[in-house]
This record gives sequence, structure tokens and C-alpha cells, in this order.
Amino acid sequence: MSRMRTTRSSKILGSVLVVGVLGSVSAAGVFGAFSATTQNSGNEISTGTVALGDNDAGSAMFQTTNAEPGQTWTKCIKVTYSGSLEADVKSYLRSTPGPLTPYLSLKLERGTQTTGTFPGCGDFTPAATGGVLYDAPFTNAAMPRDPATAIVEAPVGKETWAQGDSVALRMTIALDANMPDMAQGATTGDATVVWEATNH
Amino acid sequence: MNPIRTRLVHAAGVLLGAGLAVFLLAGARPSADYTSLPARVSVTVGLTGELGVTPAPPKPALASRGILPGATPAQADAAVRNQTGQELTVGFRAEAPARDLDGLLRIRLSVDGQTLADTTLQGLRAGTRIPLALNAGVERTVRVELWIPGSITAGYQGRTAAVTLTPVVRIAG
Repeated sequence: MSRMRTTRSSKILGSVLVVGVLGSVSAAGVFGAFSATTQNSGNEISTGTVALGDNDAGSAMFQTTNAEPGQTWTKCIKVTYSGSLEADVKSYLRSTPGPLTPYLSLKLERGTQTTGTFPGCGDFTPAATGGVLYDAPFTNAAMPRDPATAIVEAPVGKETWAQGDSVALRMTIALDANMPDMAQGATTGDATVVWEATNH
Repeated sequence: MNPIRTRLVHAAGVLLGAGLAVFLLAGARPSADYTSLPARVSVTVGLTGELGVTPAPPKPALASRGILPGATPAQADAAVRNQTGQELTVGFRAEAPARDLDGLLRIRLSVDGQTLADTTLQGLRAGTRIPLALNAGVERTVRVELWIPGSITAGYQGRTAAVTLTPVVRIAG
């Protein structure tokens, strides 16, 4: 009698054990299939860029010898903004004035140019408004010689520069027709025009 | 019921229960088939002062929302113009912040049927090997083609890549 009871208890216990194990395995599978997650990935902060270029390919705009009184030169350069941040652009002349500098005048105009190549002004079109940025002798007090006195330039029809914007600049330099004889053999020295972009 | 038959019935019951559990587990697993989610790729040709580019950035030359393995290549054209006064040689180097598609996405760049590059996105990060010669004032059209080979089965799903083709400009000669 006691042996029969033990056998029956063992059977019941075994069955419960089997059902329990299988149920646990099944439950794990079922709950695993219906679980869900959400995530916010790819968090990253990177800085933008300020990048300015021109189409001179390393060549100077003006390089003249044997210049004569009253002679003028007109050249164009295209400045293109490729940075990702919006920016302001200003330009100034970096030079050590030479003995010829007082007899020079500069006219600087902004506009557009689509098919021309440096330093030509073939299809230069001046801006309808605000096209003339500077028109005076080099000795004028307003001559932009450093970042503090620089001329602010903006693309035609815009106030700031964005990626893809460009401005064509036409520079006309003239030598005084009434230069004194003492100006013979004189030079302006090496002058560099600088365009400087700053994001805001 | 004799003991042998009883044991056989018990064993059959255990096997049946175990089989049922395995069947339920297998049936409850979610499908691993994500192949319908394509990769999204945009290609923008970068600007330099020496070159005029159309379309100019930030507008992309190509914006493909659905690239799947084995599908017809997505393609677009971009015009590149030498606006300097000198002859230039122009190469292109791929830049893309995300690298998920680096080894999967193929890019072909060509001009008038001449192939400048036919490589993976990863390969184009090193730049094109065949330069494009551009005389002063000359404009050429660069064709951009993108595809994922049909042999690719995973790794592209839902991935995005914003590729910039940065011009590498040198004065010829």
C-alpha cells in the first residue's frame, strides 16, 4: 500500500516537473517574441565649417611692368563660399605701400559672373544696387587696409553668405595721368587682397 | 496495461509535449526578413573657388530614397566648370560621416563615357585615380551612378549616407 502511494506520488511529481519545464520554455519563447525596445541612436555633435575660395588658381590679378601715367587695368575675381555655416565676408588690402601707391586709385564693384574666367571680366554684371564698394584714391582714409576697416561684401540680393554663394568682384586700378617725373621707375610694392569670412 | 506499454505511452507523451513546445517557440519568433527597407543615399558635389558646380551645394546632385541590392543604378549628372584662367586636373574624394554603407555601396563616376572611378564608397574616400582634365572656361558633365550589388543580403537596410564629392584641384603641368 505504502509502495503504491510512493509510486503514484513520484508519477504526479514527474508529470508536474515535465509540464513545468515545458511551460517555462514555452513562456520564455512567447515573452521573448513579444518584447519590444526603442532607442535613440546616432547621437553626435560636430562643428560646421567656414570655407572661402577664389578662382585665381594662385595667379596675381595685376602684374604690370613699364606702366605709364593715365593707364588703367580692369580685372575680375570670383569669390565662392563653400562652408556649411552662414557667414559674413569682408575684404581689405594687405600691403606695405610703395612710392607709386599715392598715384593709384581703385574702383571696386561687386556683381555676378557665370561664364568668365579669371582674371577676365567677360560677362561681369554689376549689382543693380550697392554695386560700387569703393571708388577713391589709395591714399583715401577709407581705404580698407585691415580687418577693422574692411569692406563688408555680401552676395547680390543677400545679407549673409551661405554655402554655394559667390560674388564676382571687378577691380579697376588707374594711374594718375599727372604723375610727377619723380615717380618714374617706382613700384607699388607687393599687395595682397584678403577676403575674410566669419560665421555669426 | 503492462509495464512496458505504460512506459511507451509515457515516453510518447513526453516526446509529444517536447515537440509541441519546440513548435510553439519556433512559431512565436519574429520574422528576420527586413529586405524591403532600402538604403537612402544623397550625393553632393562640393565647391572650391576654382570650379563652378551645378547644382551648387547644399543642393544634392542625386538624392535616392530607395536603393536595394541588384536594382538599377540610381544616376544623376553634375556640371563642373573651370572658372580659373589655367588648365586644371580635377579629382574627387568621397566624404560621408556615416560609414555603414562603406563596403556595400558602389559608386561610378564618368565623363562622356570615360570612367573616372568605379569603386565602393570606401574606395572613393581615397579619391579618384583618373583625373579629369579641364581647360580654362570649359564645363564638363560628371555622371554619378550608385548601386548595391545583388550579392549583398544584409547591412544596408535602413542605412543612410550623405556623400560629398569633394573636388581635388591641381594646376595641370
